[in-house]
Amino acid sequence: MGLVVILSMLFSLNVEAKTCRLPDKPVQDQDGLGSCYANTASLMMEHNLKLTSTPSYFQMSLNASAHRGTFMYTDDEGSTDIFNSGGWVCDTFDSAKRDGFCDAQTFKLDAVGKMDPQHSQENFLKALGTLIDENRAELKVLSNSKQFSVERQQIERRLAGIFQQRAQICQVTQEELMQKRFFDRLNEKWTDRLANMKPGEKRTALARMYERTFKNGLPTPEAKNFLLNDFFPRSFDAEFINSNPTKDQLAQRSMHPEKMFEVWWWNRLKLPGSFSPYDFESYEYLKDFRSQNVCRENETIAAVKSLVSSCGQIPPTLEPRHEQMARELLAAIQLASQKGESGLRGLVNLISPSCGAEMSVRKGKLSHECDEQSIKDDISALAAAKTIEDEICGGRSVGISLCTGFFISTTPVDSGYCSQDVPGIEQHGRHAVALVGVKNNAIGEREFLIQNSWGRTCPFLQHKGGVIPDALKGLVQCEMANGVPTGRFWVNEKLMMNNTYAFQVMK
Amino acid sequence: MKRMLLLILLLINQSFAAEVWKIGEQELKLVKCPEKFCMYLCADKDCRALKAMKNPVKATLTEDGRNPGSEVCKKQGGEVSIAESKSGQLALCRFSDGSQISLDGLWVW
Repeated sequence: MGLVVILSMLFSLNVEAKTCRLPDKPVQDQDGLGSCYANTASLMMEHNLKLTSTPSYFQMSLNASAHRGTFMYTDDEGSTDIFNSGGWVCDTFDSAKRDGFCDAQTFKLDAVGKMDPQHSQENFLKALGTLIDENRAELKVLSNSKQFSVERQQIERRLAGIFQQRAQICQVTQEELMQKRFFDRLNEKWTDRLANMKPGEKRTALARMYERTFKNGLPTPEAKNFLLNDFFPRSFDAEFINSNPTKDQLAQRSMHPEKMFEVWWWNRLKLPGSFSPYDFESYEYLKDFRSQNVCRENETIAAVKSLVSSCGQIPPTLEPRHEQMARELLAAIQLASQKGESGLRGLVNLISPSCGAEMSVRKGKLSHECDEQSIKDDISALAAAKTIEDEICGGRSVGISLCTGFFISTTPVDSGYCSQDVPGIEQHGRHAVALVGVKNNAIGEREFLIQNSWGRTCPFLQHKGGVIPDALKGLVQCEMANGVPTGRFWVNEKLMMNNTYAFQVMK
Repeated sequence: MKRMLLLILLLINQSFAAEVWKIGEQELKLVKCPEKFCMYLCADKDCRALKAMKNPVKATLTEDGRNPGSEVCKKQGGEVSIAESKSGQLALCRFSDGSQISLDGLWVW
């Protein structure tokens, strides 16, 4: 009898399953930044590069946003705002690899100078935008000042070099804009088909899809459906589509000023080959792109990008062509320091920040292959889960892109690719988190440990009464310390994979 | 039994209070919220932080992974600050009376 019991226990054990957990790293709280992609990348880098301190997710999010040209915008009232909400983990790795990254203590935006704790992350961004707006007149005076140090002159030259690359930024056609938007929508729609392609192949495939949309300059019947339902619903209505518009007419109608930055960036700079889909709806605030103001703002994007990504490194200088803007921006920073704008002192420190040696890209410490895959069906999900498990058990954190409908639902849900059809959940909730552990639960099912970026919050305890809903008990577990959540939580593998649409590994 | 429970609660509060939270150089004596899993700092039981905690706002899913509490703090009339300890960061909602509470204490799904 005893032998029977022992044997049955042995057969019920998954002898290959094991518990793997990475050493605890500080839990971040992004507040209202919308920098989840950078929080995830930062944590992954801290684990996988064996860093002894935390990379600044704020700096990485700003750099990634500037890299994509979505760093700064002007609203309908002409007010400048700095913006880094929304992004992609792989983009963040690419920009960090390209431009470097900083220790969080170096790029400490809201407590630099340690004088004004009122400045949270968002306040800093707004303050920077306001500073640029308010000081345009004074900047012209300061730009002629001879007080600039040699160091600042070096930075001016660097900024001018960046501007030279952007010399033709305002010369984009409407069709280029429409093509860019097509590409992004096609990329979203056919992620599965494109998932296994290399970036260059993906771009070629998208170009072919775009060309097939139009036959003799007119959209095909199949394309009409796509234009009406999938492309960008507010661009075209049924009456317009059924009138058989030409490509030019479509381009005219689809030209929303808010998309201009993306077109410039994608078409004019030599970006890494990755093609990241993102939601255009977040960027509806720009004026006519052909106006001089917008071109000027784009130059400032490049300037600030250079500042926030410098980490003390000065890239090779190029022939200066836009020195005026460079001097104006530096003067704005100097003015901020003189006025005692403590919330903006972080930007002053950017002029010559000191990054730890181990974080220097020049020393070749950061090399990765961001392997972003889409997992929409069960077969792919199982394979992806195995890959993720192998990575974690190999000592490497993995990032996942997921939809957080299952945070808010009281029953297990499957949101697929952030579909809006999930019963009762009418929101997308796209998010990125890092996985730092894997284990078996009491009944032998696998669970993953998620480290979130909402401080010491466990979303499953945010239901009324502070209790995990009955239908989720056994599927999720909040990790606690001293009676409060740690910010990490275990989630059943199937539940997590049903709500995950991509994952990122570093190799 | 009651004494044992009180002792355990006291130990939990004390052990949590032992974690040093700072905003800049300013140290904060945060303790666990009563009946919730958040952390707070109040001069008295009538502080705005506790009042806000007792009247949580219904939050929605956020785009771009934002902390749902960041919007709630503004709606409740507070301002967010980021405290730090060895275990990481904690966004706190600070009210005009000086009371503070972690964002998760302000909202429910």
